[in-house]
Amino acid sequence: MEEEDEEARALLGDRPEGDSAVRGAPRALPALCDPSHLAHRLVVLLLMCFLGFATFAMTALLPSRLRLNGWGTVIFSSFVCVGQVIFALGGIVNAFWLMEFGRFVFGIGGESLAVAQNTYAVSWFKGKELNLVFGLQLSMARIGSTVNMNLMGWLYTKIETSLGSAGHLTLGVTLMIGGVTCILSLLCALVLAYLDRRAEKILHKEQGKTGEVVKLTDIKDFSLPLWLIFLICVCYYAAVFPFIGLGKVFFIEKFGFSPQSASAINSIVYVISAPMSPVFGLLVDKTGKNIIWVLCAVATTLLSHMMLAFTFWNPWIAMCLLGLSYSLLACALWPMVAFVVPEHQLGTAYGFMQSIQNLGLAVISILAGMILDSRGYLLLEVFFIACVSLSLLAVVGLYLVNRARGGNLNYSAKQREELKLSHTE
Amino acid sequence: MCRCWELYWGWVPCAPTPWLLLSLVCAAPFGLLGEETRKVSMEVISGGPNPQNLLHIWAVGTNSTLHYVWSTLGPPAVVLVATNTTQSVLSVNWSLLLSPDPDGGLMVLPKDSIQFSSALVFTRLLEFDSTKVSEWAAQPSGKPYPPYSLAEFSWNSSLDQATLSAAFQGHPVDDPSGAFANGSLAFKVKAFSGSGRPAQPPRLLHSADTCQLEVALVGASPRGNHSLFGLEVATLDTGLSCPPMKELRSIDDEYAPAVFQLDQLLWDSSPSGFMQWRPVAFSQKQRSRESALPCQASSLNYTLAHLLPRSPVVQAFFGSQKNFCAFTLTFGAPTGPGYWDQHYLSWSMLLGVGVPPVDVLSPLVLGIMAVALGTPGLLLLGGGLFLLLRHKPYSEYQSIN
Repeated sequence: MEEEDEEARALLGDRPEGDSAVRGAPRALPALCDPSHLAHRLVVLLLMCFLGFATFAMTALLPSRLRLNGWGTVIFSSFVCVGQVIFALGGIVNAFWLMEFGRFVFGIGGESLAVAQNTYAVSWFKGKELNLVFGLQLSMARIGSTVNMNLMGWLYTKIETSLGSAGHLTLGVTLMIGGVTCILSLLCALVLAYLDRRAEKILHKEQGKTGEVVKLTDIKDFSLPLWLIFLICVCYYAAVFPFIGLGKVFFIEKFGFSPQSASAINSIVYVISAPMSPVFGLLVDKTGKNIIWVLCAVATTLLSHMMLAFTFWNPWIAMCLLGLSYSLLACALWPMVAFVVPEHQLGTAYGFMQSIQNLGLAVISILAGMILDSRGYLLLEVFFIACVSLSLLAVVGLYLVNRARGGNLNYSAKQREELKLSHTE
Repeated sequence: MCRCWELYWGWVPCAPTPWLLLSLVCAAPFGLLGEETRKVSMEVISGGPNPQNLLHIWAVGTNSTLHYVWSTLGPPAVVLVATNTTQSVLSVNWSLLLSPDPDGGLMVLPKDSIQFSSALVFTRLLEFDSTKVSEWAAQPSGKPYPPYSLAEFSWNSSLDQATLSAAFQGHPVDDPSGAFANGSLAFKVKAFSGSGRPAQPPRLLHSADTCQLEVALVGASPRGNHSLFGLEVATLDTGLSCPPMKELRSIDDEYAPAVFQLDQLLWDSSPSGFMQWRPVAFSQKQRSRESALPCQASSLNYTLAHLLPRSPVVQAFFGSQKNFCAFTLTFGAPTGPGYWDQHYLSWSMLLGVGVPPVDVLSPLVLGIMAVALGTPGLLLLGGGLFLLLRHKPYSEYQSIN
């Protein structure tokens, strides 16, 4: 939207600064420093991704993404750093309540940044590259998770041998060392905040006015397609993250894997989504038809869970399918919010989506643990299948509602181009 | 050992499926297998100068009887006999039974009504030092301590007619180290008049043709910090070879969370007796998933009779045996939960005749799957049809324009 406005303003020439922005000659900024240039935006994208990496490296299970939107981001990023330090301290002094408090502070920071990053991505990359950007952000986040899964355990054993004792001290020191990535994220936040301010001045983007204001009263304006998107999101992720959390013993007991292989197969979902998310992002960007892709992703996840529950087929197949469908869904689902929600409500929409996703994950994680302890893995898998099925129901419903109302969620890329051009005429 | 891979609901044994169907078909006329309910009675038979006790459980069906004779004369043992009449009785000759040559001291009459008979003897309680596990050693559980011979235990028995259960609690007669000063090894027997499933894990499905044995080690002091315990079990060979042990794998772990395997020992005969258990033991009385210990069963080996503690009851019924088939069960792993947590260990098994009970998927699972797969499909179908039908008048309107 901002780009269209820019183009409109530049063509009509009703703002004197607009002319200089279009011509750009007096300033002669190098490509890397020019906020309107793709190269600069790529730098910004890199920084955004590293924000996500750092936070994910510290929270394997909580899907918190570091976001960016002005100085608020820096504050929340500091919360993340402080929270991690408190968490590590709790480990060192062996006080579980302190660790819980540290996680609480971390969560305030991490999750509050979540909203702004999505909104920010939309504001910098809306148009053709949005799907790809979401894919890349997810990719980096997943790399962070994978690094966490594989590195922290190794780090713990190294520190254990050097300190000579297992237990809380080793845990605390490990967490403190890991917290270095949070410092990295704080640095990224600072740099991005500066670049963001700079772009605002150069490109006159009304960034402060669009998407940053989160008003809870906006919730009553959410349309039915948006609620369906929320439902898809909650139900889908509830069947993926808790499963990965509880999956290691499943692979050891049912398929006879060794603990190392079980860890490896558990993390394959993240390992696959790291390279595949940008690919799928590009794919969805080129073809459009987001709902169809979401339908494919959810159906594939359903298939994957059924394979794991009801057969003894090599679980690598099912987990690879899960990894692929998980990447595809993220690339196709999150950008859909931007298509159904007006700019000024985007922040609220993403915030709400993030919020209920995490609430859903919290509740479902507890429920999953209870089901597993009392009724075993088969019933747990059946429960996840029911969640995915509910998600599938929501996708089908979304498709029908969108079709019936003539909505634009399932437009192909070509149709979106035509829509954009017809808007500017 | 034979591994069987299961693709669908329930269990399918390695032995060819036609055999299973055939046995179901052929056995039916005998009325020995698949009895819905049986009338179960228990009695304690005492005799001899130092009153010794035998526990006799008999389950009478429509035209068959199952006799379980549990004894703690020597090592704990059970003689399992299936007859094809409701009138079979057990006859005990105490003077013979307690003599050095007890052949014929235990009989089920009439002899020609006996369809199947076998025995299980629990010979030794083993203990391993799991901190000394060496990769190349024969013992994956660790270096073994000297085992406790269960023939040298003295037993207290108790009976509960209301719940059809009995318990034998034992401790070594000679206990120089005082390991069993505050503890005991208990064998709890429970008979069933119908099919059902206990509330406590491992929730083995039992039928009227089975009885359940629970072995519990409580309070005994281990000889090391990380001791693993084991049990040596001996059975009669089937003449030609030792009975095969099967590991059945299934997708269904509803009743024993995180245990996807069922182990079976089948005496190859028709009708056949079986011993069935889940390869899991528990280290806490509450028996939750956190306290589950893996249970490894070794394969059956021929063992000369004189290397095992002598069981008078087995010799009394079956005569002198040259060989037994013995295997060991080891409970626990070097890391994770273990006996050391609460000095408690519990393991259950089923013993019976006929077709081993099979677990099938519960209606809950089937119901959820039906709804989960059916509803989106129906919605897609219905919605698609609706949209298709709705489009027709619209497209006509456009063509006029």
